[in-house]
Amino acid sequence: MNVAREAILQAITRGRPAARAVPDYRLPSWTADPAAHFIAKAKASVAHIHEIQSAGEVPASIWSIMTEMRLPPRLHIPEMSPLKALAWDRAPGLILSAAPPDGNACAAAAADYGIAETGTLVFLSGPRSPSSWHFRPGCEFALVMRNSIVPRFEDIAAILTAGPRMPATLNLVTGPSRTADIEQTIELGAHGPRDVHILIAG
Amino acid sequence: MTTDARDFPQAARTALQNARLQGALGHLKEGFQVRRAAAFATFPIPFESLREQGRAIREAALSRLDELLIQFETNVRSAGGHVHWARDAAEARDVITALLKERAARSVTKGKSMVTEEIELNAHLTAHGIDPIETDLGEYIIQLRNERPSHIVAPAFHLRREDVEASFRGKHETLPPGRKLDDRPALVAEARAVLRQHFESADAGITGANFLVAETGTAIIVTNEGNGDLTRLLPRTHIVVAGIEKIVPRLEDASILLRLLTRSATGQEITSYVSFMSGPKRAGDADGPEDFHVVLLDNGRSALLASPAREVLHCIRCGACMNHCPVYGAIGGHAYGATYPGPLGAALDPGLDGLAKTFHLPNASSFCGRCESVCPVKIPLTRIMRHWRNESFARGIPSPTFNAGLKLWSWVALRPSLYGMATRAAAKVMRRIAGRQKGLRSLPVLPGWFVVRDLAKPAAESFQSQWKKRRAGNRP
Repeated sequence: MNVAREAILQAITRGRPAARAVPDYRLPSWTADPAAHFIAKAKASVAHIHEIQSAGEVPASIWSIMTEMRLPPRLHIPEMSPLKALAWDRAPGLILSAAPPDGNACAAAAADYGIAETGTLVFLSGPRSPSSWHFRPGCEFALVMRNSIVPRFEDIAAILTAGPRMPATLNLVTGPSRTADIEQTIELGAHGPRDVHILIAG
Repeated sequence: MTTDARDFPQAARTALQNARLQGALGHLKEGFQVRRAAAFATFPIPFESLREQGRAIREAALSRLDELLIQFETNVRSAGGHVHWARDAAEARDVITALLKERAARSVTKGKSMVTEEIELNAHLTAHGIDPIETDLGEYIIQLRNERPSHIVAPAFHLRREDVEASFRGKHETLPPGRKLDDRPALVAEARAVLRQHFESADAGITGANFLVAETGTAIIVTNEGNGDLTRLLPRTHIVVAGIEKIVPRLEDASILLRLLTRSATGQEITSYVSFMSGPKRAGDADGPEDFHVVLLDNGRSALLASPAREVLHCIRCGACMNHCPVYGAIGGHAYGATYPGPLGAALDPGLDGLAKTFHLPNASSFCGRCESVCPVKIPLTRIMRHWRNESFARGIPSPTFNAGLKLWSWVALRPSLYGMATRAAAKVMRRIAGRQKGLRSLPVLPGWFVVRDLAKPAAESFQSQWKKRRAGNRP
């Protein structure tokens, strides 16, 4: 379709106004504590927040949440996820699976960053982190390290554009999946998780 | 239901008498207007400052559109993806159908995309033996009902839950007929289960894009359901279809526009999901599509760029203009009979579908300007509608008689004494007909006016003559 490409580009070049740059814009400087702001915003997005001392507490914490919520004792963790290395024997009775979770299953993931402005989890795709797992399960547990919470998306953009290349997929996840398509009334769990549990460590 | 903008007057009349539709439209205010206002009121950055930057970003992007599209293409290619260019709807349909046929695709899941509505992709795919399945709940519901979206953000907002239940019972034939389906959670759960099977078995996924980022070769989609992501991530092939105007230079520009988009559309600070898709899965990635394509659609946009209606290309498709429009609020989206309803449609559709088909739409406005006051990228919508009105007059659309009528009116209106005489005479006649009643319910002329409105009884004395007297009285 090179003919189409040339025709479109020529029409644009003929028709567009003189080129100009995007003017500089300064967002107001960030004053709030990023982690505290993250927690408030994530709660507002109807995510569940659990503060823990360290990543080592993840198995026990997830297990107690699952027990309390009477969820079936099966947790999906991706094959090469760093979460695999945790001491899961501290969750006696919990069955781990590396198969892709179905729509009622629980899965766990490690978030790369958190965004304070909106209480958002940031996931980068890669060998250790399948993107579809943030959408397949009915319930997602996400670990985020307190010191990886940045004020705004602009901070993530700066990290990404300084690096070698964007990941194939970058997901921003804020609270559970929802829809208001029937009678403009919000229902949770449209296609993705109905419950998002965020474990903040550190 | 109409699908042709030429039938707008009749379709608008029908919509005004549709009690069910009127009920749904009554929720626009609490559903959209109130939430939007609250979202900007609580945001530390003033709306005016943010939207001025949004406007500047869109303006700068369009001024370098050729350069940015080439940069985008280069970056998608170096990530292992492919970029295709389509001059019009037919070319886009052909590109997409060829890609799917080469891959022997039988079923295709679709994320919500207005541009695929614009090119009428679903009907074309079906005709070629490919089964398109809409996965946004609203889009899925209207696909089952063989309707078109009535709103660009909330495509099924004109329906009630009973309508959805009836559609599900009719189309989900393999599910037990006696199942409970009389509340929203049950309906959402059923759609989730049915659509999950489609996600798992689809051969390809097609999504739109809210933005394309030139510096990174990224397509961004914004959803609350997660359907767009399952559409991208589960099948082997992912095709993005986007208008050429969707481009922005940098990720940080997209970030400013995202803040404006979600607040303006649904009153959310951010949607549940914002996804940045840059090419196919990398070697060693745990999942993702192996095959990634972007189809860039012109379809009248490059011509709009060179026209006085250029700024309509700034649009980020939030829907705020229609949510605040008294005309849209009275008749809903279907009556417009074009892809994009409301003030946006009135400004954009003539550029995409031609004025001969869409001349009614820029006339369907009282020019109250509410659309402009809420537009997050400050599009001068009424000015653009006025441009189309002038164009259509200059080109003799819709008819010589219509133009002759306009000419006669302007001839009279430009002669104040004649105009005064004519209006005084008309007022006198109307007062006589009204008698003791406060308003007029009918007149021998303009029967269409009285179907849905009354006319106020003219005052005994016109404003102009009262003004004259008052000034005479005030003179020292």
